[in-house]
Amino acid sequence: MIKTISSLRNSLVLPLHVHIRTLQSFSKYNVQAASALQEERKKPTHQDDDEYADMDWDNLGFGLTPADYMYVMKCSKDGEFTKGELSRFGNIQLSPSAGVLNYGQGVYEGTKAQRKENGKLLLFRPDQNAVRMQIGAERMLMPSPSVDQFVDAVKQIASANKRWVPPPGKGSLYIRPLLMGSGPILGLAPAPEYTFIVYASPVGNYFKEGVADLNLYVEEEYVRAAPGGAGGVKSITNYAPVLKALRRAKSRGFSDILYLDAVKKKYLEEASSCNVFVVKGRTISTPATSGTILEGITRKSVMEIASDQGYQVVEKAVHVDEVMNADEVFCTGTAVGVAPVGTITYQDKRVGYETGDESVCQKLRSVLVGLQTGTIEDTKGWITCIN
Amino acid sequence: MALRCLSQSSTTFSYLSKICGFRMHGTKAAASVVEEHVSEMVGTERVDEDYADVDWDNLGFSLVRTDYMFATRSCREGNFEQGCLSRYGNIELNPAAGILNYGQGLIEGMKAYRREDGRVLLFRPELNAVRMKKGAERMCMHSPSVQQFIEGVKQTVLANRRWVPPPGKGSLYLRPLLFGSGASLGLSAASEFTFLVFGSPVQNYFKEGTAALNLYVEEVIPRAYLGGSGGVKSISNYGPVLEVMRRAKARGFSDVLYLDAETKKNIEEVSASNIFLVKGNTIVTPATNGTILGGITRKSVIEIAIDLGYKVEERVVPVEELKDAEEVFCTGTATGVASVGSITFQNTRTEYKVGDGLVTQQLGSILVGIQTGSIQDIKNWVVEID
Repeated sequence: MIKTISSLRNSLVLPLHVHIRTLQSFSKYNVQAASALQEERKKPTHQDDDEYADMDWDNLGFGLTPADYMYVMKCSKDGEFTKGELSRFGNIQLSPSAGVLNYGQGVYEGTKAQRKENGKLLLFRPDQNAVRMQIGAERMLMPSPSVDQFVDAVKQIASANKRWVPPPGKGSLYIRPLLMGSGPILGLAPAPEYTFIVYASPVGNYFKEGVADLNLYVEEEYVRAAPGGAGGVKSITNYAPVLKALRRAKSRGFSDILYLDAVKKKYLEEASSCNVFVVKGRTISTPATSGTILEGITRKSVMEIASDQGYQVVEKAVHVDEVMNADEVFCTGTAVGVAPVGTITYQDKRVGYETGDESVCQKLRSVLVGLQTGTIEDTKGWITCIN
Repeated sequence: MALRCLSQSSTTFSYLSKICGFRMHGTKAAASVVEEHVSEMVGTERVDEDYADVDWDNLGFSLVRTDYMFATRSCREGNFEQGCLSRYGNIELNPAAGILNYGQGLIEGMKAYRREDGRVLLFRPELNAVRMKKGAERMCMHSPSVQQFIEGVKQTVLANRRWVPPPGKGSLYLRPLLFGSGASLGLSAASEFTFLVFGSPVQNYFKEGTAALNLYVEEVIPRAYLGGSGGVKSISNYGPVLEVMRRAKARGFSDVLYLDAETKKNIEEVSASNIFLVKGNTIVTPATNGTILGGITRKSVIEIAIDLGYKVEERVVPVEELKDAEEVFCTGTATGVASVGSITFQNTRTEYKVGDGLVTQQLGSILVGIQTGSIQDIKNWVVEID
């Protein structure tokens, strides 16, 4: 079925995003077709032996192209996660009264697998995602897989879906672990059963700007998180409430939004799905993670790389005025990588920043990417090699 | 053929398409399908049964699997297809569905009551429909029209009629649910939404039964904040407070009273109900300024109180006022009008008058009377559904 859809896509002269939407609307939104698709995919085909899936590797965006296999593991409220296994990607079954559907009891993660020139697959600090999911699960009253179980699942997903890992330099396999309250619950309380799922999709650039500079908008009406809330963990509940602000900013031509703190509305927090850094001279500042900001793994890694390179790295409260006076601004995240910010607009004032090959952002980015793709030696034990 | 599907299927969402080939339009059709289905089940269930086999004297607030649920999906333009009933059971979702990854979902809460004469009543369902619409707009979702919402709820109640408790024994709690079922990888609104309604017979929400509640004022964790989604019934408001609730319950409290996030000086609401303070002839409740859910029970109680001659104030309520109140009560669809016996704030426990003859009981009994049809409904709040 995949081959048929791919050939159909290739034979039509249409932009890729339309192809992907066609693929999605054909097979993913229609439940009957999805079930039928599932049936087809169960049959072994010669495609399993191909080195690469049939994708246009030069034009990957960040749309969903589910890789063949997903991983599922379940747990009761007081029990442990056991018997995780791979299965063909397909719909999951949930009770209409599942905790995740009624009360937002869910956390997720994001990590990537890269293909090295020699064909091996590389994972970047998956143990960090595992620990972060555990912290998030605890905040949301969920049991979580152990670090070993999490990392093993991610490894299995990368291996089983190897042909979906783009060729070196073309992108990566984005891996999405998801933990949800799947058991039924009526009154407001934790679910009695939990499900841990991992699925994956090959991706290129997160923003439609590609690798071009981002244009950000400082949001003053909508707030991403408040002290005491769940903003510091990767809870699904942090995301839907900002869709409105994000949609509005995008419709005005911005790439993403910078959120301010809930109390004073003067301090920088982060963007919708990445952390933010401000460069002034040899000092790189980033908002301290005091409970409202997600502690990014890319953020943490970039801070260490910058420190190694001799920059003064400071975690502190970053006032919005400091941002407007900075030399450079960049964002970090698993999905976005290390992305340079070209402009920030705050209260009708638009400020431009240095970007380009000589920028601090680019220097840090190339070290990080080098490590993640295995072209720079990994002396910190950040890289897990599989296959 | 469709009826055989109904009786045999364990029912996943994929059966929806088979059943919808025989679409059920209107509540009459739903009722006739149920009657025929019940008559087919001779041998497996008692045919003449008016009620499901439930211990009506011992209902709490746990999920009881009923017979049917209602569902419909939106198409790309945002309109919802004509929905249909299917056997209550699991639904299928893409792992990359918007609700699972980004929390894009709204809930509602309603109750169907059985009147003494056997008729089944809904209470102000159009308000829930409108509230869901408002919530959908805030959460970048498409929503069913008010008419589609009410129709879906009615069909669910009718099809599950035998699960509506006998008069005075509780109600059929209804959970309309709207969520992003379409899949996406990056953070964006889903492009397909599912509207679903299921029900469960319930009686008292709290394990205390009808005994007065003991609340704890939470100072660290807010329920909502300005610029957030607290003012709509988004699922994202609930998961983050589970931790606070558990801690409070472990210490013997019934529930938690939250303060505003910005100053931590004013009371907002309880985990799943609004709050009222009574002093003399004045009844005070926090104004809905965007962080507090505009409860339908809250709105109704305000009106009943005004009709009775009370002075009702919707305003900012500083936490200090808790000390001076004579009575305190909570309102919600699930909780009803519930007396609060005590509130603990910073290790100080204030107690309130509870019992018969008080304002709380007066307002509560009028509301229940209207909802169950024993008091004349002059405000057209009640909808008879068959």
